[in-house]
Amino acid sequence: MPLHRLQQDLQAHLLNGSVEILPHIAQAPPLSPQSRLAIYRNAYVSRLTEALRSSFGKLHQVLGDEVFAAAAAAFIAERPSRTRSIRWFGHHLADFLARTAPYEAQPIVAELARVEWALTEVFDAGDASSLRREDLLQTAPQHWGELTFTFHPSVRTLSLAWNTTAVWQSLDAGLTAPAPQKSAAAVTWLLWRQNLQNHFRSVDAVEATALAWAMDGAPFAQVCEQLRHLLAEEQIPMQAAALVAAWADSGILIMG
Amino acid sequence: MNISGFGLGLRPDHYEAILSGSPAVDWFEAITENYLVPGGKPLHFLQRIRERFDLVLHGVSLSIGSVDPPDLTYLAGVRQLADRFEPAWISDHLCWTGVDGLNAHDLLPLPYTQEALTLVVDHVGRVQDALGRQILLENVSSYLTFTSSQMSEWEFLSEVAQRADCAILLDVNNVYVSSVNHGFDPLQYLRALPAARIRQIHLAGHSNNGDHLIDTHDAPIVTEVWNLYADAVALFGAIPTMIERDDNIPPLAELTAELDIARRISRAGLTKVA
Repeated sequence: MPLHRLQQDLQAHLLNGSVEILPHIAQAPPLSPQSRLAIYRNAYVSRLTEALRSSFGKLHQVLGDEVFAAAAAAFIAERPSRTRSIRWFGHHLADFLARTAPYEAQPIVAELARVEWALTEVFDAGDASSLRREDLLQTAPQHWGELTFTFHPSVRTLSLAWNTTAVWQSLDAGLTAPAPQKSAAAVTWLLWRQNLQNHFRSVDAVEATALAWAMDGAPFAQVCEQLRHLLAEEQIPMQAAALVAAWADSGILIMG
Repeated sequence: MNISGFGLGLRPDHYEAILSGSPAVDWFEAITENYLVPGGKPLHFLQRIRERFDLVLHGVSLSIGSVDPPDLTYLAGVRQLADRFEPAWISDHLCWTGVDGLNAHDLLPLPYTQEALTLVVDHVGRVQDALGRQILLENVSSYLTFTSSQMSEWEFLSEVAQRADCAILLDVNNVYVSSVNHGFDPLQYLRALPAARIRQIHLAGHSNNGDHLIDTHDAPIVTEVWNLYADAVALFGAIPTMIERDDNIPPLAELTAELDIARRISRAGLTKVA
């Protein structure tokens, strides 16, 4: 049997239990070829499940062992890994949960997975030196309009419709998670890393708008322009400048 | 650069203890894939630990035995990591981890055939070219063999090392685990290896499932593996040796105490040989 075919058949056994490979496994008591294959198949599923459990610890807590294992098994069956490192295997889990029964009926499940995955990305995103508030003052006031902003590689924003972060925080503090609750309107969350620690917080509509435009590369004047329908004209420059200063304090701005 | 003495597998659980104390560890072995990330804590701690300790890199996804060609993007990442951290060497496993672009994230066994031998030798050459250095290949634990095999595992490993001009990372626990699972004499395995190519030794614990053993790295090293290590020392001399622990990870001090057992066995073995 050519090596390619042998590898395809053994891999198919791991992925879906196919038994094409069985006649090519040597008979060597006391274990049967079936039992020998089962060692690999079981290890395959449990290793990937464990990788998901490690990336989605809060989701595991919310779902419990049994449901989490079932969700993991369904995901593993649908999306065999194509990543080099097992650390990236959970990349599409949130999407999977959002469109797969029975998890889709509870949208907070997929949202919690999105939060946890974003936090894993924040954790080992690229490094960069943050700007300080003083660095911003190097720009003369008359040039602020042209100022653009570069964000730390760890910065992520998420729009969340449920009380997902409250659930995350309760579980993180060892408390019972609150019941799922849909917010009146979706809330934007900002996630980032500062001094090797992950952080996240909600942002209001003004900051969400400013962030979206600034992260898209818009200069300060254009960011201010976008705030016109949210703030009184005279408040805009001061409020926008205060936001930028707070971003610098949080370490989310870097040298452009 | 070369290293000697006794090392440990670097695990995040121990970062703080390593940096806050002076553990009796001569070098650390970092899992390559854990540090192929853009930034953050993993690279921060690796940098700080590297400033105080020698390092080797140990990969788990090279998949040297897959019919898929070596992944040049992955290898470029490994080379970049090596340029930054200057490991004494880079190792991975004599196995395959997936085919047709998939990754099973397991160390899967090869059939010991001429076809597999030719393929692995070709791949090792390409990998060594891409990394600009000789690599070490480790024997894996296995739970099945193929009817098509034409030679023993030790013959296959020796042939690969000699034909591809690579070095060997001898995992003594894996030899023992496979010897029980397949019913061969582990000493015969060791005696057949090209001694001059053995550059590093792994020790680890396994789990005993009655009629077979599983390489779990979740427990202390058992007597039989210590005994086989003593045989390896008698055969190969003072080879840099380390302990791998990946589950039920105890405090660092427990592993350095276990490493002291390796030191004692090595010292006793070397004295006897001398």
